[in-house]
Amino acid sequence: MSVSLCREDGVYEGGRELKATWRVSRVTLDALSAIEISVLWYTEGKGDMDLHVHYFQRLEEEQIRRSGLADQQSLTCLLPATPLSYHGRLIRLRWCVRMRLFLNSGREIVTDQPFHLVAPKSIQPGKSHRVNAISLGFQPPRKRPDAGNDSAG
Amino acid sequence: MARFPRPWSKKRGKRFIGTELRSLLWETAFYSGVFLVGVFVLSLVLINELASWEHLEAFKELTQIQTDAVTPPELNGGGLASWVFGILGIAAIGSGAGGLIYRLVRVGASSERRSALATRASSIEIIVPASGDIDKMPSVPRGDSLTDSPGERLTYRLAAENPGGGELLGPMLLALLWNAVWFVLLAVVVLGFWYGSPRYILTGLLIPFGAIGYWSFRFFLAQLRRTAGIGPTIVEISDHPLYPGCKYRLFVSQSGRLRFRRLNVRVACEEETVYRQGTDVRVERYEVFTEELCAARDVRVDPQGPWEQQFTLDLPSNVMHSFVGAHNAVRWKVIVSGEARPWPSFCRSFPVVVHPPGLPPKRSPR
Repeated sequence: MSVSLCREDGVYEGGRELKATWRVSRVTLDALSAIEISVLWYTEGKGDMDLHVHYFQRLEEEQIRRSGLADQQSLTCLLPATPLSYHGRLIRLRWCVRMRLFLNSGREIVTDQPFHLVAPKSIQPGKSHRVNAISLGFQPPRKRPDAGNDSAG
Repeated sequence: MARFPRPWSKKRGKRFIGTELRSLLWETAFYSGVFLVGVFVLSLVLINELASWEHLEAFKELTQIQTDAVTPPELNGGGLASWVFGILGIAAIGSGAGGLIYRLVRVGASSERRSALATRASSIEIIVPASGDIDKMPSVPRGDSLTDSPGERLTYRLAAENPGGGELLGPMLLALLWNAVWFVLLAVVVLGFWYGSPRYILTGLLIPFGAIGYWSFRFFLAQLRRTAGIGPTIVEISDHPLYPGCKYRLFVSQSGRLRFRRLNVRVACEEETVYRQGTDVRVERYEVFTEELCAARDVRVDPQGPWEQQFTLDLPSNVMHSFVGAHNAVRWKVIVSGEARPWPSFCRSFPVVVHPPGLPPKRSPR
């Protein structure tokens, strides 16, 4: 399965629109029980994780059969102004588009497509975003490997 | 050699020893057990209490319940024992049912789905419509209470994080309650001697209890002296909330009757994380940014002439805005700290809110 963003640099201004496309391949319709797509932020670091979902869509088995898996699906959402992506000493705040596949066998497969939320009016038009964005220690987006995370027994 | 299956699982950081399913099953069994024990104890209490009601005689005859036979002797004491067991039963039912519901709600739902449901539930307008400001900047503290008092020199007077009264309340309660109990015990001992039945063990205990009472009262007086001696700190700011890349004026006043060896004023950004380590909940803080505005030495302060200074705060453009999550936070504050003799060193914080840049500033009628 794959998720791709509308901006190549993966940097979005707060309050602007995010467009992404997703697709599931190499999984048959019979094996799927549900798909969840969410746009969310979560924290990493020493503290317990905070997670907040900004956009959420769940496709049940019936809906997946109706739309099929062959075509690319898209999602559009208006991003909030805050919290901005942040890379600190104890806390890292990351934004991502997360896709979670629920298989009939009880397994779950998760993939994240990270992106950066930066302050409004900090991206100059026609230029790709530089590393001088908000945060103490800004890091370029890293794509998590498209690996299956078994979280159900 | 075959390993005996362990009925528990242990969480180490983010990973489990044993399967999550096993922990789910055992937690469910535990909470169900607590709930059922609560039901059993409460039933015994109710049967015992209601058995004395006259209009239940017909029910007793019908069921042929011999309450004396089925009720444990602890519950036959009536009054107080029944109340204690009744309350314990209700508490067990409540904690068992609560734990069971909490655990079962987490089954079959991803963390994203639970968060989305919680967001949807919190956005339902029950009494008053939700304020637009909260939706515009989620996870940024509003900080309305920080600016509800106007300043004398500048626009806002900032509220201190730990007001002076809070430091005195604990020592005062400890000193008063402990010494009150000590005097009650003293009265019991004196009456014992007076009526010819002396209580020697209690008399012996009065000495260490008295020492603790003396220490607590002395500690309370030291805290009172420290709070009253150092005097209040006033911090005022020209505008609030703050925006990265902007300049602000800051006024600081320190009163009291003392001489500071060192007095510092700085603005700091602090990361704060809450995490569980075993069964402990720990909080860790780290200052990621600090700007020193003043580092004065040998400052004399007296009631007629408080130390007053005005500074310019130049906030860099590449700093993180204020952020508050359930377990993590980025907090900004003005910190006034000092060292004085004979007083112990002090540190007072005045929280401020920093908004992200690029948003239209919030204008106040002030």
